[in-house]
Amino acid sequence: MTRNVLEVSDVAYSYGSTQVLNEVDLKVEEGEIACLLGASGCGKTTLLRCIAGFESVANGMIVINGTMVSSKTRLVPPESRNVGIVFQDYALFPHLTVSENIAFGIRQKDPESISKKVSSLLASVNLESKKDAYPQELSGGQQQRVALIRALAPEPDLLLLDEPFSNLDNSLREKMKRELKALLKSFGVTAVLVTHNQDEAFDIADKIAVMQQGRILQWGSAYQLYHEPLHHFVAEFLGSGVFLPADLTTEGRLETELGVITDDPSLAQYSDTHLSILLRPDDIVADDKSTHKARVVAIAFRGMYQVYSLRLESGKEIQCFTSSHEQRHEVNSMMGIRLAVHHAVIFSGENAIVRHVNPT
Amino acid sequence: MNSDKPSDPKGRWWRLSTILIAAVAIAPIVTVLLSWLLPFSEHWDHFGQTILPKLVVNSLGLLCLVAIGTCVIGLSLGWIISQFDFPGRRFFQFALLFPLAIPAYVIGFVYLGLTAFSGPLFTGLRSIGVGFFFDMKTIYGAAFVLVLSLYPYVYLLTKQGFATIGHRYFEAARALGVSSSQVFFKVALPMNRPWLFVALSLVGMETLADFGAVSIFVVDTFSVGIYKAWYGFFSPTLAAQLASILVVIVGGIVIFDKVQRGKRSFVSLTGLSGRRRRLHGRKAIICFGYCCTLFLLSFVIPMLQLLVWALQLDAEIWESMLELTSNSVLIGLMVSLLVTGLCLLLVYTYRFYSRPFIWMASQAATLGYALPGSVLAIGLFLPLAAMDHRLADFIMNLTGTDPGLLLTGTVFAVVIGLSIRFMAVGHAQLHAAQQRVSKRIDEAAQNFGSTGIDQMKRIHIPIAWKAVAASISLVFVDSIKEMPLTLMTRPFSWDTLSVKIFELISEGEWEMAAAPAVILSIVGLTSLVLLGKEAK
Amino acid sequence: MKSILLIISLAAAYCASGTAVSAEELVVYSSRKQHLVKPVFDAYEKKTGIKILSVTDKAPALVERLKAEGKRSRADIYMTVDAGNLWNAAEKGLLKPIKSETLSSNIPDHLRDPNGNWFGLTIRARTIVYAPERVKVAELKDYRSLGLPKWKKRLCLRTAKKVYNQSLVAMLISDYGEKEAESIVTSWVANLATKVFPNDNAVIKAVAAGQCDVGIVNSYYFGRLKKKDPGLKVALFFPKQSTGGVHVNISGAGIVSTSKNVAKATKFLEWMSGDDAQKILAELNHEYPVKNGVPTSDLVKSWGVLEENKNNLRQAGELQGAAIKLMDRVGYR
Repeated sequence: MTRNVLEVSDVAYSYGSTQVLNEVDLKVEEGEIACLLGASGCGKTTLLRCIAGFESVANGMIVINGTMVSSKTRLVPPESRNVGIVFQDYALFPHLTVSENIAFGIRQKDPESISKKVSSLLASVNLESKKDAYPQELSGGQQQRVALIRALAPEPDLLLLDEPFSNLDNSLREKMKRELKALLKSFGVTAVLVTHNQDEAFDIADKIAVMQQGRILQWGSAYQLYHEPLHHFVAEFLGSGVFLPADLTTEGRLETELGVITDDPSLAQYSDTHLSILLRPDDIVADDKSTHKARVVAIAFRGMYQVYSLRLESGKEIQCFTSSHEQRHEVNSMMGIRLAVHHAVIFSGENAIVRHVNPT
Repeated sequence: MNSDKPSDPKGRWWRLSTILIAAVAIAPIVTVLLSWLLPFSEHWDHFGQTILPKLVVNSLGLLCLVAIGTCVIGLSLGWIISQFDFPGRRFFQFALLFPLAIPAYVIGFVYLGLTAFSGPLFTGLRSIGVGFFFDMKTIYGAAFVLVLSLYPYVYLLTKQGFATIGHRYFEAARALGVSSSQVFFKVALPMNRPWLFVALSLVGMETLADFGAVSIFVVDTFSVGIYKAWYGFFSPTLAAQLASILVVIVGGIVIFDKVQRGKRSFVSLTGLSGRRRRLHGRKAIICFGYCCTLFLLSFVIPMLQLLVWALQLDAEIWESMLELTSNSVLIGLMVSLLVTGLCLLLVYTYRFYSRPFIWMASQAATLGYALPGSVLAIGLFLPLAAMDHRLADFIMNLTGTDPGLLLTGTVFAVVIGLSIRFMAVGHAQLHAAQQRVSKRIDEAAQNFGSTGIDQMKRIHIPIAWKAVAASISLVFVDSIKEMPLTLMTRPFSWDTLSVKIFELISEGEWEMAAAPAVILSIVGLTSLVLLGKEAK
Repeated sequence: MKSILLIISLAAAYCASGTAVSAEELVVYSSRKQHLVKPVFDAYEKKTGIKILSVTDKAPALVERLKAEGKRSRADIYMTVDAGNLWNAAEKGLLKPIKSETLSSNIPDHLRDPNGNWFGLTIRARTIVYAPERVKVAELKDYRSLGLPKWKKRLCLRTAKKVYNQSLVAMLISDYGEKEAESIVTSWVANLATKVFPNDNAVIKAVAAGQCDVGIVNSYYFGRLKKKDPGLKVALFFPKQSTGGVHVNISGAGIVSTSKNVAKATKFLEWMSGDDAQKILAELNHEYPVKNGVPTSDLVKSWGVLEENKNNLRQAGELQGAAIKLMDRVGYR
């Protein structure tokens, strides 16, 4: 039975009259890497700072390892939470060398065991040679690694990372993502990571919370978020996709412009509402024999595949992936398409009402 | 955001001690302000009608001249020393601070001696048939001397500013099509504002409170009026009322800046100092010549003249100097360490446990700089003596014998007085330094369990070490130079170098005053050189 | 941490070490410069074993200090230059009136407070200096005549902020009345050759260098400079009794009202007014002894007879405020 290292329940936070966080719930299990994903200003960093103890909550509570650390009336100071944090700008102490930085938070007193620990940490990120360097002398990637092992050195129950890759260039970012994940897993540490980049979230996190305007819209694995979004915003924020208007007959038949998706009497209860269905680009395949035609608006070459932007008769734009070896259609020509839906998500307004619809 | 935190017991102690420091520091000022409750002096009419307008005009004029002068010189030096490399730069970097070691009134009497009609300059000119003469006993003369003695504050602080802002912004501006000379006006100068303001407020307070230099140049400023009220009309009440006007003006300036600066942040994270641009040819010569001229005017010439005078003196005057010197050094050490310690507490209470009133309190604690020394001295003396009487009464009730006054007339009183006077100097240095450190650094340290005193010891003092050293050194130099306050609060038969200088120059014995002045300057210089070493 | 505690306790001990006052000591609050009085104090200690502790400051600051210390002040004697300062301390009730035959007979009436609050100990003459190369003695008469048009652009004065000039003008008011005094000072200002000087030495040097031809200074400043440079091309002129005499001021002392050693302090003042002390005082600073028959220094003797203005110096204090206002009005800075 896994236990929850972090439990955030019904947390609210406001700054002045602005509600920054509202009804936030989150549970992170031991050894899990969780990610708070959202556009800037969504409150994800504030949530992280609340977990760390730098900000107090206006409502709800935060429990770390079974201890209540934040509530309306209680604020365990950051230093007593046994939580590590890696800041966006790393906040390495400029007057201390790399090894002194790492040793800073180690609680042992015996200098020998401290230095042993520092060396083994440095070894784990291949930075032994830099132990006497000052932070200013390191490259961005090296600084990040130092910040990471500095945060890990006190063996925290929970590690928080605030936009850990935002200060790195693209090529370095790819490498560091792999390194970070491997490192976190090898230490077996429970971590919460904040990012605005879905690739980072998908690559590293076991579970992702998508945030918008101070709320967590959905909390689940990458697969769940992508394929079974609960919310219009989640679906749009993660990858491209279109919402195709759909009609549900009283018998439970779901009809769209591109044909019938499913025929399931159990859906009958939702009839009479205005519905739409989420289509990812891979739900639509090119088929010249198909009776459904769409006009090619734009073609983007992506190496292995190409993406067609198509306009349906109704004027709705959709996307379709094809292999790049396939015969090209010119812009403005008509192209035959058909649905190849593995499962469909039906939305009523902003929210998904049916997540698993097996197509006929 | 911090203000939303549930109360933190540790922060309470910090805030309490800040309030306590501020309370002690403003006690003399409150005493001075309370003078308005006393009956108004019959001399008010005369002051208001006959001299006050002139005093105000003179003070403002002098203030403008000195502010512009120190600003132009200090900023330009700060810029060229921090941005360019040229022959002598390494030397001038520290040597340009040396004038701080010489009291303004000493630079003043040296220049007046040199340029008097009977002095060497014009006697020499007349002997070769040149009848030209100008009189330095004008507001311009006083401004000249004050600029020479005060520009190092602006230089020191703006240099720190330029180094802190970092080249990245200057490069960014260049990339946006701003020419390299415009970078100074469009980017460097506006970004340097917080440092410049702190420096100019120090200069301004020093100028407004100056009595020594202006009285040598016979310029009637506001502080001269204060002395006149007290020494001429025998009305300390009137003097205190006039002085409180100064305090209100300075307090107003501080608040005005805070309000209009608002929330704009001047903090820079990078702190990259980049490479200095190497100058060649004419530009290098101009920079060298500029630094050289200032160094000559502000330090070499006064120092040489003092040495010339001092070497002509009889041996006996030197005998008394040992005791005076050791008293000066001891006082300087105690005051500089105390001030630096207290200012660290103020600055970091503000940083760690900020509340709106903490800012007010720490600003109030530095107002002692705005008062002329002797007015601060009465302001200090009255509450101190009152407290002392209470203490003595208490002991008398307890033991039956009257212990007499225990605090007044001891070195304790001198140390407290000087500390209150120079809080602003230490605070300016330390506050500027802490602003440069990202708040994330505190959070990182706190995250590792280091807070409060421990965090200061392990993080902030080491990072801000240069500023701590600068605070100790500058307060040391200021407190050994200080004269009226030391004069009033010191114990019997206990003198310092500055007191000796006062005694001699008030008798017009400028040549004899050269002896203690030379020693004072050398002691001050030593502390500045040590600062230079630390800052490397 | 231990070392910090050690430093703090050492510093505390140092701070608390005010000088303890024992029975065989007197405490003098003095605005006189140490080097001008120390030798007399030393002589007294040698003679009687009583140690004189002194603290020096500007006179008005000492007055405030005495007021604040109140009954617990350790001061026994208040000593200062300028009758105005003594008058001010007496006005504020800080001095104890005493009656002493010795003091009354040693010190002429006009040089001490009629009520016995304070006593003059030395006389300081504020008189005229001139450049003998450009001015004939016959051209000089008194302070008032320095306002004559012939001295246009030839007069040098020290700043009006110095108490010596304030006393001088106060005494002019007492001699001539306020209106007349004002016109005298106005005419001086009109005759100034250059801006006022911060001290007397600068005035004398300006006369010597030819920047101006006449000036008003205290005689002992002239004495000091003349001693250093006997070739100095400046001479001293004393106005005669018939034209009002020389304006004199005093350095003097009184007994602090809270003193617990009044008898001892009185003895000390009596000694100060006696032959031995007077002689040392006169020698030290080229001032004049208050006691008749005590010889002046040789240099001072060479200046001729001092015919002093005999108005009581109390008026210097009483009229000081009026004098300053007068000078402010006519623009004498």
